[in-house]
Amino acid sequence: MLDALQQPPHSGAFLLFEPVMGRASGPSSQAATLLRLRAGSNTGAHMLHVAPSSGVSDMLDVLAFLIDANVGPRPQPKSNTDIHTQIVGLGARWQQAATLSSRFFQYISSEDFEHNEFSMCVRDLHRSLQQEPVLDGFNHPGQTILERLFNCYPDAASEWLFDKIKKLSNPSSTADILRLLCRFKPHTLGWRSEVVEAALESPFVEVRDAAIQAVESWAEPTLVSLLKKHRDTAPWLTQYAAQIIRDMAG
Amino acid sequence: MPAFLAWSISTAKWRARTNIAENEISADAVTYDMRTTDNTLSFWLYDPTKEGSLEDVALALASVRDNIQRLDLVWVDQQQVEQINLRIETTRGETPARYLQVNHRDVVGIDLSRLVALARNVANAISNNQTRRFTEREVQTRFFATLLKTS
Repeated sequence: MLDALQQPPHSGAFLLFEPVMGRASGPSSQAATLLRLRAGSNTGAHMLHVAPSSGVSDMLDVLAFLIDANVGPRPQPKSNTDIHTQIVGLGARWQQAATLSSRFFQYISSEDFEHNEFSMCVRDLHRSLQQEPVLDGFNHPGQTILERLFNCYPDAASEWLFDKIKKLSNPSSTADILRLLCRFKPHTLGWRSEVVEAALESPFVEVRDAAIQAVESWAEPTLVSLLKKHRDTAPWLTQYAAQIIRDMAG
Repeated sequence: MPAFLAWSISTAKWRARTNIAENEISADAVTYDMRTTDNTLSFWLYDPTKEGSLEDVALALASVRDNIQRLDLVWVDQQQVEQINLRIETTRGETPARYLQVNHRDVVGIDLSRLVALARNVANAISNNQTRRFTEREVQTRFFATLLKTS
């Protein structure tokens, strides 16, 4: 089952564990959110949601679900001996399921899981950029992936993007990601300011253009003041920045 | 006064010089903004003698988008397009602004060499500042102003 988790989502085994294990936040919560998203995008995926108020009976439902998902449905009993055999068998399966659920929980709580899922999301994002251009005003599949990255892994995502801007490699894809990013408000205002500042300093016009667009879309006074201090070498960008400053003042 | 054919582009892609020389045309830009269907590209008529003609083009294009965001327009001389042996056909444009639908033009018969020639025209137009960027605020204001006017 643990191996299977590293494969694309499949039907049958997505569970939200954290309330059962007494954890309402932290890695398991993030992983659960991610699993919920992934399960939701695949036809035929099943999911059990155990609410924070869940009791023992809910836990038993989870285990029964695991049994069905991994061992299959039990046969109809024909005699008392059959029933007895099934009860014994069920006990053994529940034990097996409990072990399985515990290993599953350990895995989704681990840094490995977070790292793998994060890398997978970044890969998906780059793939979406290769498949479809980011056009102003039109939805792009990369936006959902980027939002998921920032919702599930805010720290890793913000660090990753900041590095991308600073590194000066692949300016076109960096600009595209920034242009997708400005369609929602990621992370903190402080981080957004740092990103705009760093992107405005980029030697690449595409990245600087995306930085000005971020100021335009996020429309926050702190960011506008950064734009006021900015002096661009490209006249068309100077003009664009001036337009945005005027728009924001109006 | 000559008539122009306008459509929306990603200005930054055309102006970026990543891995190319100053006088070269960005392939990123062409693959972004000149994606043909049936070897045809969609344009809108821009008549500089008519007041608000460019704003009408912006409105026609903005009205079929998913979100309100900035909009970059470029316009090329219609005669120059005809000179590269491309047909210009009047077709009904896809825009909810019905009075603008007649302003739509299809440029038909684009093969690879004509695509390159057309891309050169666009690149020249950008160098000659035949571009206009409508900011998010401008798009929003014009869009709602027209909605109010027509409702």
